[in-house]
Amino acid sequence: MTDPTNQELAEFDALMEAAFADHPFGDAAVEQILAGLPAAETSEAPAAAGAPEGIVISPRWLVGAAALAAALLLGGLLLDLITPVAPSQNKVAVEVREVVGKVGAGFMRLADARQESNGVLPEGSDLHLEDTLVAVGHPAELRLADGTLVSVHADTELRLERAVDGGLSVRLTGAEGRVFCEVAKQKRGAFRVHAQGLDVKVLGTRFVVDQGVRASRVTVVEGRVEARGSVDSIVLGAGDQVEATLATGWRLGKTQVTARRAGLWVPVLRAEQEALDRETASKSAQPAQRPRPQPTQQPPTNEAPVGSAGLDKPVSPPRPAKSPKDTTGPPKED
Amino acid sequence: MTQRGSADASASITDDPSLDETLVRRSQAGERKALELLVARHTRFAGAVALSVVRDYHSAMDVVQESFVKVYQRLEGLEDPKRFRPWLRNVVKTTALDSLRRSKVVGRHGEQLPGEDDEGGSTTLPTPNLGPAELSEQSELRAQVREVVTSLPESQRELITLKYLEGASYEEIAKALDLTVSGVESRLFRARAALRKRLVARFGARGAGSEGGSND
Repeated sequence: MTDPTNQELAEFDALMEAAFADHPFGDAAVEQILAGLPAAETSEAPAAAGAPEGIVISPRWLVGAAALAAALLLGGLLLDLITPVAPSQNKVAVEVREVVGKVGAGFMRLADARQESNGVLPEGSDLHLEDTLVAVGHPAELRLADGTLVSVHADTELRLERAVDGGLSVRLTGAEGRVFCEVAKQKRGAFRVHAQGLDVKVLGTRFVVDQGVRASRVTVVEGRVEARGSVDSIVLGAGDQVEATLATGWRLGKTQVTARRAGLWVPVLRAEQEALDRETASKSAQPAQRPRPQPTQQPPTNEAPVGSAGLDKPVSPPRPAKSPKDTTGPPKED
Repeated sequence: MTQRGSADASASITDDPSLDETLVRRSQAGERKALELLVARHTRFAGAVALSVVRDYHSAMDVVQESFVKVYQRLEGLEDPKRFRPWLRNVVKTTALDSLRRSKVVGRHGEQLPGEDDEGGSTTLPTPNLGPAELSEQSELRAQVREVVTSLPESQRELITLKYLEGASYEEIAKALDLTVSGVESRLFRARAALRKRLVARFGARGAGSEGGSND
């Protein structure tokens, strides 16, 4: 008798995961369950109101009420002790300022960017859920605690969210933006990217999402994603690209691109980052500072920007795409 | 759950095992939001447990929904919030068995097939003639594979659904089922072998050089 090889086990695991991949216990199920629960009750302890007129309260009841009040008070104190945030609020807040990773160099919180203050976050700062960040003027990266890498195009605004199934989501919150995701295996839920008119659920590992004013697009480099438009959805494999456009009511239109072409954006992005790092190092006295994005240049790849289907102002970094280390050259069709 | 990087940076709302305890206590105190988070954290787990008892997704979803209503009604009586997950499992299983009794289909699945040796753990089987890519494209095939899963004994079905539907780790399965990690490993080994044997019987064996297709 011989044991199955690791490859056989991996194949079998992949087979079985695929068999259950369409299970219905995701976000929609959670919403359905919550909708089916009895109506919410107040979380606050009842106010110490006086007894209604005409009701006689026995001393025994008062003792019990006092004990109950003491228990509630003690319980409240204990809850305050374990409440991560806002202990001073009357209602116990359940929101946890969850740290989901670290920011790379060059991010600002959106509020700071709008105030044009020099609020560039130090590299390695904690990345919190629900913080809206902007990659100020150049590409930047987010490293999530689970190992997922999100490469963010210059001037892209985004926010990390937690879906109800426990999975992390990147929401592109600006008018335009682009992210490239290398997604680690998720322990809970699915990793998603939300763009205007396009939701991308990750079934694989590497893909690019572009968001424009009138179009959004996902290009899969490796693995699979499920793209959902306004009325339709589709599973894309490596080299597939789907675009949802305002003109079609955010319906999906699938095209094929070469995997090589789809992947070229990444080394170019990294080359830009390296060029920027060198530039920053040479001007170390000058802090990275930039007000709101002014995207006017061409995107860093030869691939047509989403604007070809309606993107008014292509997202792009304000510097040449090539760097001395960039040996990939412009994207070429195979 | 394993954590990567520094502990503070990687602490996750879903990976933190103590969060259940906190959420249960807050839910018991009447905090709706905490209850909602509990539901969100454990819907998939409940679904996996339900599907190990009932036959199909639709019935399992009904069971899960009914189970969480019971959780809502009975949570106050849960004395050890640390054991929420095993408690939830019992609620789901009981609800699922009730559902089966109501639909009078007890015994229609999960029975041992004649001549099968599921405990034998033979692993000299060929690979089933199926690939993940085929499954992802054909819902009918997926349903057929799940049907084969339902032919396993219940204890093995639960291990399989927890492992592959919920994506639970050995440690998580061990906690939920009150087993040791090594116990989970050995049982899952046997469950896999039994399932593999049945899949080969159903779909035939694939020759050497089978395709890959894992996304990870």
